[in-house]
Amino acid sequence: MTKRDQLGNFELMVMLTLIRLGENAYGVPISEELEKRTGRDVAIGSVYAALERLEDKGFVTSELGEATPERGGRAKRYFRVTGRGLKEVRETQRALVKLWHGLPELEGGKV
Amino acid sequence: MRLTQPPAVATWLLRQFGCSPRNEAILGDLMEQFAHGRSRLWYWRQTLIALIVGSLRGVWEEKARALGAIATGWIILVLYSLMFAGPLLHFIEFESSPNLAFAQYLFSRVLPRNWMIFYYWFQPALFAFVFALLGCVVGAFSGRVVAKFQPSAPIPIVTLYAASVCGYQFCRISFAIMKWGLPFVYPGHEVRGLFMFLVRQIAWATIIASILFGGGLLKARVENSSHAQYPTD
Repeated sequence: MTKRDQLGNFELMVMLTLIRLGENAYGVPISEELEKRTGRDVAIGSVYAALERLEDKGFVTSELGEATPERGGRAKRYFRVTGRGLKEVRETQRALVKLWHGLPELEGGKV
Repeated sequence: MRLTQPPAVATWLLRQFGCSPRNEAILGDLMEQFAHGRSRLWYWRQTLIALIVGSLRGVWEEKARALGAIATGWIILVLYSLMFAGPLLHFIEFESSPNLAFAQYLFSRVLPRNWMIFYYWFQPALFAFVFALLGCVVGAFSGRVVAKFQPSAPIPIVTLYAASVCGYQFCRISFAIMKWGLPFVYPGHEVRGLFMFLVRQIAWATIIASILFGGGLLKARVENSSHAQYPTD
C-alpha cells in the first residue's frame, strides 16, 4: 500500500461516520454527526475535500440523490464506503489498537 | 427578524469560484443547513472555508504547474510595470500635476482659471483611469496566460494568482502606512490625498477583476447543473 492510500486522521473520522450513517450519508448529516461525536466545529468544505480524496483512493463511492426546494433545487450527493474502504478501516483499526496496547500513559482514559 | 434567503454574494462567490467537483452539492448542503436555522455568519464562514480548501487542494495537486503559472503571471506584470507602465504613468502623473507648467499654461491661456478646481480633482481620477485601463489589458492577458497552464481546471490557479496580486497590494499599502504613516495625505490636502488613494485602490481592484476575467472566472456558470456535470456513478 502506498502512503497516498493510507487514511489520514480526519479521513478516518469521515469513514467511520459514513459507516455509522449507512444509506443516509450526504454532506449535512455527515458534518452534523462529526460535530456531535467529536465536539468540534466541522466545515462542510473540509468534509467534501476529505470525501473527494477518499473517492480518489477508491474507499468511497457517491451518487446523486433527490433535489429539494430548501437546497435551491440542488441534488444531494450520497456517499457510501466501498469494500476496499471497509478493509482499509479495519486495517487502520488493527494498527491503532496495536500501537495503543501497553501504553500506561493512555490507560484509564485520562490524559 | 431572520432573513430566509442565504447571503446572495456568498452563494455567487462559491458558485463562481468554487473549485470542488462537488460544488453544487456543497451549495445545496449549505442552503439546507441555512434553511434549518444556521446564521448568515455561519454561511459566510463555510463559504470562505469551502473556497479556500477547494483552491488549495486544486493547487496542491498540481504544485509545479501552479508555481510555473503564477511565476509567469508575475513576470508579465513586472515586465509591464518596469518597461512600460512605470515610466509612462510617472510621466503622466508628473507632467499633469496642477502645480506644473502644463496645467498652469492650460488654465491661464486656454481655459478659464477658475476651472482649475475641477482639474485639481480630475487629474488623479484621470491618472487612475489610465492606470486601470492599461492594467486591465495586461491583467486580463496575464490571467489568460495563467489559465492556459491548466485549461481543464483553471479556477484554483487563476484564483491563487489573483489572490497573490491582491496580497501584494495589501502588503504594499500596509508597509507604506507603517513606515511613513499615511503617505497619501499631505498636510492641507487631506481630502484630495484620500481621494487619490481611493481611486488608485479602485484601479487596482479593476486590475484584479480583469485577471479573473482573463482567466475565464467571471463567465456565468450554469446553475444547478449537478446532473449534467457529474453523472451518477
